[in-house]
Formats: sequence, C-alpha cells, structure tokens
Amino acid sequence: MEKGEFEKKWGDAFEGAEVSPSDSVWTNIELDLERAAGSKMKRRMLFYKLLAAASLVFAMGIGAVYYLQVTPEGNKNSLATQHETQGVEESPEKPVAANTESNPFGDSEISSAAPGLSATIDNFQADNEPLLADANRSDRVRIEHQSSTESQSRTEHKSPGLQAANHQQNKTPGNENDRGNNALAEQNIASTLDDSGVRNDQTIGKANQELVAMDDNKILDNRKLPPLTLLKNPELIIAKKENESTADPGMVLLAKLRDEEMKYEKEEKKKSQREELWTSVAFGAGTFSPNAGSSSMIQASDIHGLSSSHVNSPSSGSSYSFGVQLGGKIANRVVLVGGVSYLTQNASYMSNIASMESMNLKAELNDMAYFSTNNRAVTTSPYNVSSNLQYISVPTQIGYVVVDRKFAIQLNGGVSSDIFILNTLTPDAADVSKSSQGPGNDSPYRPVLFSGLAGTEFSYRFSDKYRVALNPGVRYALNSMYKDGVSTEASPITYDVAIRFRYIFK
Amino acid sequence: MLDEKELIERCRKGSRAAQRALYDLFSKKMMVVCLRYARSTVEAEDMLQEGFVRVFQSLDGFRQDAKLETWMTRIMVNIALTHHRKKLYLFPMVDIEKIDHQEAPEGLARLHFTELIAMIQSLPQGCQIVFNLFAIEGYSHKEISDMLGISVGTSKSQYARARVILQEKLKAESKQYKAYGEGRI
Repeated sequence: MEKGEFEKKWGDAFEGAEVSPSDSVWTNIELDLERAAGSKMKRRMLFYKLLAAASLVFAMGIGAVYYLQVTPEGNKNSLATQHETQGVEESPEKPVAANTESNPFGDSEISSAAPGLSATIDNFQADNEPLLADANRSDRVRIEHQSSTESQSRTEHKSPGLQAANHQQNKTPGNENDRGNNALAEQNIASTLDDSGVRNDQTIGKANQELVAMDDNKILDNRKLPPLTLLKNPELIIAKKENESTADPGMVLLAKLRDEEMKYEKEEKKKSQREELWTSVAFGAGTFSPNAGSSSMIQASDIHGLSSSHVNSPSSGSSYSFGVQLGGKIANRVVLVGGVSYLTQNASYMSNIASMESMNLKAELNDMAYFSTNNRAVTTSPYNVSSNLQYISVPTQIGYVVVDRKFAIQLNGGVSSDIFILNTLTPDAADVSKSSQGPGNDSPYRPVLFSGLAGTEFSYRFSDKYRVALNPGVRYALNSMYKDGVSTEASPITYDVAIRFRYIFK
Repeated sequence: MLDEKELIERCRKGSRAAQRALYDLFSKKMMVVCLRYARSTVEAEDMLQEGFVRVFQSLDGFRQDAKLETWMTRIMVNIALTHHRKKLYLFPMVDIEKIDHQEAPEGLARLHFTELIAMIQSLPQGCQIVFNLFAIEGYSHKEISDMLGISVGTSKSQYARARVILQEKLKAESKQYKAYGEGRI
C-alpha cells in the first residue's frame, strides 16, 4: 500500500500543532526523576542487604555441615553409616581368615568406632587362647546365629558396644531389623569374630563384664591405631587449593561491588573536577648548604709567603626561589611539570683572601679553586663574607599523584638546569669591598649546574580553578658548582618549602 | 538563551532548570504526538510524563547529529506502543479484507487538528496505532509489523480499516459543514 495524498494531508494536518499539557505533568516528571534517583540508591541498598542475607545463610549452611561432620555426634553417625554399609555387604557371609591381621576393617577401626568393643576383643582373645588356637586351624569359619535372650537383657545396661554384641548374637540372616540402629555394633562384632574365627556367647558375655573396668586409653595405647582415633574431637580437614581464598564469597562479591561503586563515584567526580593542564606561581624558601667537599684553607705559604690565620669552612645559608610553572597530566596519576624560576642562594663564609684591583681589595672566597685562577689574590685578616649565588632554574619534574582529591598528595622528582647568573660577595670588613662574578671564561663557576629535585606536594583545591600547594623538597647538585679545572668541588644541597598557587586551565 | 546543544549538555549533567527548559521547548509538540496515540487526554499526559522521564534518562545516548525533536518523538511513540501493547495482547488484531481507497480525504483542511485527533482517538485501538505509525510517523508496514509483532498483512488491513472509518467521518463532517453553510443547521 503506497503512501499517497491521503497520508500526506494527514501528516501535514499536524505540522506545527501544539497542545499544552497540564501543569501537573512537569510536577510528576520531577517527582519521577527524584524517585528514580532515590530508587537507584534504594535498589543498591536492597541488593546489598539481600547479598548480606544470602551470605549469612550460606555461612550458616556451611557451619551446619561442618558441625555435623566434625562433632562427635556427627562422627558417630557418619561412622555408623559407613560401617553399616560395609557390614551388610561383608560380615555375614564373608569367609573369615584365621590370622587376626586379615581383619578387613583392621583393629584400629574397631577401636575407634567402639572402644568398648575393642576391650571385648582383647579379653576375648586372652580368655580363649585354646579356643582361638582351634579356630586358627580352621580355614574358614562362618558366623552362626545363636539367640540368647538372657545375654541381650544383661547387656542392655552396658555400653552401646556391648549392646551391639548382643544384637549381633541375635542376628539371623532373616532378621535384618536390628541392622539399622546397631549397624556399628554389628560390624564390630563381626570384626571380632573375623579376628578370632570363633564366636562364643559366654565369652562375649564375660568380656562385656570385664569391659566395665577397662581403661579405654589403655586399650588404645596397646594397639596400633591411626592418629585420628586418638583424637577425642577429630576435625574435618578439607584439602584446600593453594591460592583459594578462604573469604566468604558473598562478602568478597560485596566488597567488589563496593569497590566498583566507589570507582564509579570517583570517576564521576573526576570528570567534574579533572585537572589536565594548569599553571602555577611558586615561592620557596629554605636552607642552603654549599656542601664543599674539599675546600681548603689558604695557608700563608701558598700566597707570596704571607702568613694567614686559621679560616673557617663555608657555613650553611638560605635559599629563595620564585618562578612560574606549567603542568599537565600525562597519565591517570602522572603529571609532567616544567617551568622557570629565579633562584638565589646565600651563604656566609669566613675568608682571609681578597683580590687586588686598582689598589682596592675586593672580597674573595677562601676557595683554592678560585684562588688558583686569580693571580691577584692576597691574604688578609679573616673577615666574614656573604655569598649570594643567583641562578635561573629550569626544572622539569615528573609527579605521581598519590591522593587525587580535593586534598591531593603528589610525589615529585626530576632534574633542574640551573643557569648561573651571578655571584656577589659582600664582605663584612671596612677595607674590603663588594665583588661580583658572572659567568665567563675567567669565572670558576660552572655556567650550568644540574640538580636533582625531589619533593612532596600537599595541595588543596579551593575552587574549580584554583589549588594551593605546599611543597617541601630537596635540591641536590648533580655536579660541582665549580668548573672541572678547579681543584675543589661543591655540590650544594637545598632543603626548601615552596608555596604554589595553581590556576587550572581545564 | 541557551542553544539546543548546551541545553542537552546541561540536562545530561542533571540540571533541573535545563530539564525544565527542554520540557517547555518540546512538551506541547510531544503532547500532540501522545494525544494521537492515546484514548484520552489523561492517558496522553501519562505517556508524556513517562516519555520525558525516559528522555532525560536517555540523553546520554542521544547523538548530536540527530534531530532532537525526531528523537524525542520516537521515544514518545515507543512509550505509547508500550502502553498499548498490553492491550493489544488482550485484543489481538484480526486480518480484515483488504480495501484500497486512493481518494483524497474530503474536508480535512477545514478541520482543526484537535478535531482530527478526536477522530483518530475514536478509531479502534489497533487501527489507531497502525494509522499513526503509517500515515503520520511514516513507517512502512514492514516496520510496523516488526514493531508490533504482527504480520504485514494485518498491518495493512488495520490501516485500510482506519482509512475507511476516517473517510466516512470526514464525509460526515463535510456534509454537516455543507448543511451548516446552507443554513439547514
């Protein structure tokens, strides 16, 4: 059926048609949206509750099974069942070997199942040596039924094992009713007869009487028994796979779901607060140690034969930096930060040399290094001199964001290329004037000093666009601040704390 | 005023104000769509409400290259079909004799769209849906048969029946109109 004018006219009839719905529609939509948001959470909670309940039921089920299998009652039941099965199959018709070791169940099993019966067996064998000897001569002995009401009534007041002995005596091929309740006892008696090859009601009765005075532990000790039988409360040991978790699978699932939930929330939060690119201004202050490894004191004999008093080694000072940085996220938790900063390092020294320029004494450091390059140096009385090193630092750092939230922790590490600008020496002496040394061939300072950087940045985001950070860190010179030709070395260490104000572009 | 793209973006972020703005922008048009599929205004408003909730919840899946109105109309139609589908199971469509009328609808242009909606609402339910889907939404009978889980023949027959009924209604309206014009009413 093709579409024709009819359909076209109907279609056109509704072009631009509008009907206002009642105000209640939007109210209901709002309610539905709120309800949907709420029910989503409710569904989650319900699911968790159901999962927790299911886990509890599962745990209780496992516990019940464990209890039934491990407790003495459980053991008895299970052993009785086992012996019942074996006894039905084997005891009545099975040819009995004359040798006691040929007992198909083993003495130990008998003892473990019914210690009282073991006593019966022992006494039975002891009291009936001649009889047993006769029995041993027979190749096969069949169990015969001899009823003894008197014996049965007597043994009912004794141990279950003894009752079982009487039940065994009452047993006929056609009388199977006793098997169910006394299967264990029946089997034990059957085993007794297997060992001895002879069954004697009177002997059993006698044995039962003697059993009352017997010590179970003694019986067990006298026989070779498997370790399990020596335990009063044997435990069920289930072989476990090596890597199998022992945790409740329901709880594991619950934990996983919670993790997923948190992960989802984190991702959602991150989406709204992502920091991909930012710039920051930083101001840092800290302590500076020149760390001069082999700085030597100038001795009088080193310089024109002049004498010199003792001079102290360079002491520690302070460091200040100011700069701008540009940072960006290069992986989920990895950031790359670069920038440029002005770095000034101050230290106080004691010096006893100065350079002579146009009849003026200018401050010099007491470094052999510099001295070796400065033929105009002369010794002076010791004086304090303040050294001010200035660098343009170009740091490049990789950061790993340990905590990525409003409050963030970031571990930074990297290198910095520190371009030497100037060293100013300000003496604390009236006859020695200030001096400056820039980079150049005649400068003992290396034009570019490479430093390793390490630090931890603690930051707080206080709006969508701003974050303030505190960054304690260390700067360690990877090479000497002096040139290679200089005999002394100095690899300054700076411990500082920088405050950074970060502006987040996106 | 926000453009459509930004409005959608804000709706996606859950801004209630943006959702309200989007609702104000399209609710009247969507109400007409719902009215065509509903049997009453109340039912249409129920569809509209459900449809807009679905729209807000599904905006993440909306592709910007598609037309928003078309996308929303499709959602409304789906909601309407969901509403009717239960009833359609209770009253299965039956194939009727194929009738093919090619004549143009008489007097359609004279009627207000609300009267046309009333006519459509008066159609048997199956005919109403198939008529809307085929004549107004522009679906083919094959598509309709897939959407409703019926045979193509059933779709065609239901549509033919709808056409006959509507033609008769239009003729009746036309006669009444003429009579009114001639002063007999």
